Amino acid sequence: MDVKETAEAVARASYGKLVAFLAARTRDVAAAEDALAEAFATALAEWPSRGIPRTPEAWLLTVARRKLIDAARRRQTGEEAAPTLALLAEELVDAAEGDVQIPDERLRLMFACAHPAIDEGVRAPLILQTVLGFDAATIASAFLVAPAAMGQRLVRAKNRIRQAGIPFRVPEREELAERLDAVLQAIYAVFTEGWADPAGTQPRTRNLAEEGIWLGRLVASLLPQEPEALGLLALMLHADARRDARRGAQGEFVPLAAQDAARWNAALVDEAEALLLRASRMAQPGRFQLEAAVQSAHAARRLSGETDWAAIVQLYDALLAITGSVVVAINRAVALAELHGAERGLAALDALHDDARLAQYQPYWAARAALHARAGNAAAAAEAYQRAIGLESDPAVRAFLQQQVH
Amino acid sequence: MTTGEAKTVRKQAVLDGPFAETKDAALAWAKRHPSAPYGAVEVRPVWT
Repeated sequence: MDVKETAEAVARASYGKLVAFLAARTRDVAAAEDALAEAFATALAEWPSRGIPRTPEAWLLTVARRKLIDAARRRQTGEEAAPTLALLAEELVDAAEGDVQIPDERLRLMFACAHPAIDEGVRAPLILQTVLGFDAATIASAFLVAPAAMGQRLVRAKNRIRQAGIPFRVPEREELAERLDAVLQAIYAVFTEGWADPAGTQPRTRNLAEEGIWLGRLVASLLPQEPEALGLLALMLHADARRDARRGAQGEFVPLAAQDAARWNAALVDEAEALLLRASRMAQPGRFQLEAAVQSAHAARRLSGETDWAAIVQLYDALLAITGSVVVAINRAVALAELHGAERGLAALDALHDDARLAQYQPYWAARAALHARAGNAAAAAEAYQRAIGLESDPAVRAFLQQQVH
Repeated sequence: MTTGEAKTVRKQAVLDGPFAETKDAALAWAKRHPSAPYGAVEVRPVWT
């Protein structure tokens, strides 16, 4: 790894941890992000000539703190600045003195972002940006909304954290449940980003699936009585169990039906099944448990050799009823087509056609293309394949889609 | 599982996810059900 790659790897791995640590003290998330961005830029400028420091994370933290102090001095005057500066300077000494363990306060930051004083719709996006360093465009695509609107809402939310003096702590049990939803959604989005790239070919998404599972385990261990927390972890483990089987020896895309079930990670599947069973005994179904149940139905193929599409359609019916999500509707259409034929699936897709968000949503076009191809509508299939290929960033999936057209 | 007791998910939610149907399963349909009937036609020299 060269210096640039090392800096990027440290940035990816430590971003949320460092933002959480800095922001927990000042409650100024935007300032913490700015200071870190400057620290990373300094690293890229200095490390090539001076070498990579022994503890890159501590180095970045020290530089970021100096930047924060400079910024606080510029912004504030006199007595107003004194407490912030004293706080930061004190810790600067600590960090400079050696191998200080930087505590992982990401969970505290996540729950601060999910505080009731923050607009409900922006809680999960805020977590994605502050804790996981996602840019507004990536976050917007997970929500199927416009990047500019998302960017503005994030800026407002960060101001709100500072102005409202929201504490950075994991709330007590009573307040926990209402904040949990945003935290679970953010973890889900992180996992989705990483899962899309199972071979880890893109540095931006590398390790994100592990990160999502790590956070999911943390939350599930903290809240073992929350069925949706268990459901989310179960669904991530199920999806991750197929990771190795989703790409071939040459890195090529292997579709689900062609995957060798023996290459699915049995230990992860078993753990996921146990979690889902525990969750279902609490008799409070929810979105993540239902998605985990769909994953579980696919995993059953390793035992039965067949996929129970009737069960999957039923689960999607239930999921659609509680979410009303257009993404769920698309996946339900594919399951319907497996069960009742391509025409039924196409009819279900056609019903969604007026939704403007789908123009840029690759899975919609991929599903449309496959269903048209199956129905023998070659021209319509080719057109949809071109749209899907144009929207696909993963080279393995793009190559696979291109093969389907010819 | 009955859906009646399930909590309704609000509108502003993370929609995209690791869905096997659209991201792993559907993509392969064309290959499993070839729509091109001439795919297996052998090209032979006319004089044989």
